[in-house]
Amino acid sequence: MCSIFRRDTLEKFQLPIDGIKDGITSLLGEIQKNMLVKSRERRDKKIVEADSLDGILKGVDGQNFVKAGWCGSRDCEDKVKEYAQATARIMCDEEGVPEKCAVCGKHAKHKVIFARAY
Amino acid sequence: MAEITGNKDTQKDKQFVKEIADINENFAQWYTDVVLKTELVDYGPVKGTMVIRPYGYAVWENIQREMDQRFKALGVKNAYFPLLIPMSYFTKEAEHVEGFAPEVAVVTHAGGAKLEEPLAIRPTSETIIGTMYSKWIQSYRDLPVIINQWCNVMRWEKTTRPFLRTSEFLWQEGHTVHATEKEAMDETMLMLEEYRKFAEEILAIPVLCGKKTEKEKFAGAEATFGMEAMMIDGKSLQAGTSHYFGQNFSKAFDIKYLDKDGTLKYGYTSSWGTSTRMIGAVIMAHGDERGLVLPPKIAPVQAIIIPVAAHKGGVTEKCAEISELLRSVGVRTEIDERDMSPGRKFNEWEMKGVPLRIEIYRGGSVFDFPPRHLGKIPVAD
Repeated sequence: MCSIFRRDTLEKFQLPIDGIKDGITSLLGEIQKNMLVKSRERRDKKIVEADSLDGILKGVDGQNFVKAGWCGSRDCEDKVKEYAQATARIMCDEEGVPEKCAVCGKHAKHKVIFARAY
Repeated sequence: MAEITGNKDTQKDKQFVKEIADINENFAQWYTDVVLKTELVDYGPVKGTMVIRPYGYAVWENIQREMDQRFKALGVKNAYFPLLIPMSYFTKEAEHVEGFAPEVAVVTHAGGAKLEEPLAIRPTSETIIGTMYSKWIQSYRDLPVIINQWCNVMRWEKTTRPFLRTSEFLWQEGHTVHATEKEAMDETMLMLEEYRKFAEEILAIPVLCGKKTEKEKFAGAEATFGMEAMMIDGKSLQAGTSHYFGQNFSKAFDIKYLDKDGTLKYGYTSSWGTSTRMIGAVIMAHGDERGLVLPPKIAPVQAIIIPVAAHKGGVTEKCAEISELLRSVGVRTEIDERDMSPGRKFNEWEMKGVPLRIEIYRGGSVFDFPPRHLGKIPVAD
């Protein structure tokens, strides 16, 4: 017999040695898939929406990505940097642009994902 | 397959806490501890540089191989352009030089004498590649040009963290020239999508892709598209970018072609890049309290074979047999036969993030297993 330890789930189990070739290759495939699934689950729980500077700050303080409306001005973008230490990562207009800019309250041109970044 | 014990071994976790910082209490220190202790990297003698050790370099080689295969399937050709770029080339595109000037390392002396013109060490290669493209491209028949290079670049940084931000790093940069705006934009979006698939299928990291704001875009680009990954601490890491340059670089570097209608036109260009930063993304997206957790597709060792009580007859031979069998089907496997307790080996390979550990032991009966497996073991066959 042999013992198998799976690093991604920390599970241990027995495996008959004569099944090891197929067992290992299918396990590796499973681990690869599982890691993406788990990663996505973890991330999707940490994306929030905000409609104010305080909301953005609260969101990134809580270790989230924050989606918010943005008027397109450098000024408002700089304010988010100053107030929440977060930068605009990408625009996601295809999700539907909110009515107002979370920073200045004027008409929003884009939906932006703000986050603290490396 | 036999049943799972569900044994998560908190005893082990306490041992790990001593070696590396607590991932929840000090993520930054955890990262530093992990990259050093797993021997992925070491600090270089020059500030901000990293030495990629064999384990780390093997991860990069796996990433490179997977990505290069995808490029080749798309018809991308690899080439190599020089490291040094005359400073004068640099200043040809105003926004580009403004953006990169603060980060550029410059060579002023060589061959024992001061150089006539200082030479920049490439922070990115648009300027030198653009110059060569100008020379090579004459007619619409020469287009599109789609060339990539795997190389190093240097961007002098004030703070550095292995893989995440280092003064020198390894990457690939693709540079393309097209006859039309549409083709160049299509190329920009195609490569962004290729990067997204790569991140998900190979790195097992879900990413969000989209257009960058004017403030965040690449210096000299018309539009930059980024690929953002969320790390365990909720921060974002840009794992790849794709840029549409319109005619900014073709006008600056005189990349013209004679079109079918007999007129000379400026080409439309794009560039796209990913780097050793992706390794940082893998570390911080998947790691846990025990250290690295590597996706099988890029793990240098996919299954580590550990002989337990090797002095018992047949164990060493069994390990060799299994290793050969697994290698014959393409599994990257090694046998750890060092003179060290199995427990210590387990700790080490777990910290190194190896996806599977195979413990081989001599059994007297079908249900034999090492004594430390306590708790319920369901009946196998």
